[in-house]
Amino acid sequence: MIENALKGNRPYWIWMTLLLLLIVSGISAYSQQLRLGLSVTGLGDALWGLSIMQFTFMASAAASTLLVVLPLSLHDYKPFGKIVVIAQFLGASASAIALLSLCIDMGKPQLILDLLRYATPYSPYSWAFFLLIGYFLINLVTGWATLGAERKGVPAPTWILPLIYLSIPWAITLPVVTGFVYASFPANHWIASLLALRLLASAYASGTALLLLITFIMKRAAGFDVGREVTDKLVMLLTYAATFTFVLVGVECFASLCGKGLLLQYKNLMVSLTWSSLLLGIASLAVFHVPAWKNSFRHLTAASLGVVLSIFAEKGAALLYLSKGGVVAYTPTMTELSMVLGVLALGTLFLTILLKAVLAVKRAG
Amino acid sequence: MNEERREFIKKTSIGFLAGIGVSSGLFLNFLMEKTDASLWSDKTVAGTIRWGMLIDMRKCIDGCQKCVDACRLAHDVPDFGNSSRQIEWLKKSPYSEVFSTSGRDFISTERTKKSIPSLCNHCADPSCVRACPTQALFKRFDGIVALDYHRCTGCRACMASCPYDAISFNWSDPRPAIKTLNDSYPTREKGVVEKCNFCSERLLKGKLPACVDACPEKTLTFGDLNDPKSAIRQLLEKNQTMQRKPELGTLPSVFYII
Ligand code: SF4
Ligand code: SF4
Repeated sequence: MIENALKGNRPYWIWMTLLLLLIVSGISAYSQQLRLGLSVTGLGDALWGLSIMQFTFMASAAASTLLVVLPLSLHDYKPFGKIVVIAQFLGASASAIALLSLCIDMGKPQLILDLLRYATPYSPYSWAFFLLIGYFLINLVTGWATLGAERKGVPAPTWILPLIYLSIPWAITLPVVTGFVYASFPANHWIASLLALRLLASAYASGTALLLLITFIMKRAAGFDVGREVTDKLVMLLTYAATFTFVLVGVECFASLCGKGLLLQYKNLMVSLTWSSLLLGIASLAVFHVPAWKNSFRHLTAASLGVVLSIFAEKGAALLYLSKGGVVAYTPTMTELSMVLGVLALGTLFLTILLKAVLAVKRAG
Repeated sequence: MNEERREFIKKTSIGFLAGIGVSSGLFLNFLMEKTDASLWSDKTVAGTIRWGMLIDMRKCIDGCQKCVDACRLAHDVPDFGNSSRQIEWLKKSPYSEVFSTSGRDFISTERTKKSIPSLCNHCADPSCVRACPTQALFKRFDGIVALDYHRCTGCRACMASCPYDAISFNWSDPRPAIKTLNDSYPTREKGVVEKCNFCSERLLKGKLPACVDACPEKTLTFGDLNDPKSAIRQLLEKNQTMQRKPELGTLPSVFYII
């Protein structure tokens, strides 16, 4: 099935070339970091930056596979059968991006396997790493097995069923534990309890938005239509999750920024980022509520993109409190940006190859 | 004082023996400390040691940097100057930073004008140890929160979880930034964190921590918090003292008389 990645039209190859270019620039930036240490990033006062933002975003977005798997496997909602493999592959790729993002943030990446060897039950960071590896494998294996069965025209093998059931609590735990990575900071114990919950809600919003975008792209680029019913259902799930997310973000902004008088520090990149994130989120959300726009392909694409960007930016808000207290000055460097984009491109390349296989099977069937 | 000195040497030599005990069978120089966290209990059992420090700000001279310099020299701590990437085991900072959550309204300037030494508190319930995904940070049998530089992955979870900003990260190679190289302690490399170790390498030899020795005013008192007869406990008994951010429940082992 993989060999289909070598066949494609012009736009496909332009897309792949673009991804490869980003990967190459990422690798060159990373080799610079290997040589000079993390001093090539904009970090210092801020302990964690862009790559941890990407880790948090992707680790939680990966979990949204649940919103497709759960209705299908527990409530027998058949239409989602069409996109379940896509959702699983998205989950696998997002976990891979999250893992790589963690890796490029480590001072000594050569010790990455020590994170498994010395896994520490009371460290949320340790858990997040372990859960991500597990989630990557579960989704890749179940997705691939389902696809293989579909190609042969037989029902999916029964051995994947326990894995699929396992993936449900796994998907709930993943964003919560990722939230705990931040929530365990005593320096900001006053925002801790909301954080895990916020991440859980934003996970489902951003992941569903990504899934929606992918189905749109597949329709445009490859003529693969998931159908009205599935799109509507996804939009509905997205609307619920996003509404909940932005209410939580709004509460947080109010409580922590206004409460501490930080509202006025517009000079700080991160503070303005949080506010623009919230505004963008609310604007995108509005689109889903306007009946006329809800059915327009273009509006939906823009709004999903808005949700994705907004939730990504909002991850910066969690990092705002990380250091010595107060708001931290942090501007990412180009090197940092290239690394983060490189990782993103690598994950996207992986997803593209997997989706090519999906398309081939769906077309043949 | 002699009595106390003897007691001190006796206690530190327990550490010395323990050090040899674990390092045998490993390819480690026994001056490097043992790394198997499971060998130590983190409970403060009566009769065991819990090293602690008392900083008496009535004696501290403003502007004096002797303790800070001694620490830098003893551990080859690199100096990146006044940047956000500075590495500090022991530093002097204003009251508003050291006691950032304590009340500051109408407080006597006598208290706030001096800069106060701060270091790792070797907390009895350290949040950094809990955050570390590889147990590179661990609590020793004697209450010292120690760090295995070889196991640290440089994830910086510990820095984010320490409420006292006591841990520094090597953003770049530290070696070029070491002012005076001293070979009694191993230098570190880029990508790992480091922090105060209560001079455990000196305790092994029965010496007091470098900062304590360096202070001409005897501002710093070092001793066993679990021993009611120790000088530090006597001082704690007779004076009103403070810990940093006690509300967080980390149980710091460093105390202040302000
Ligand atoms: S002061 Fe910070 S680094 Fe030291 S033991 Fe406490 S939490 Fe850990
Ligand atoms: S930076 Fe090192 S010591 Fe700190 S939590 Fe990570 S692995 Fe542990």
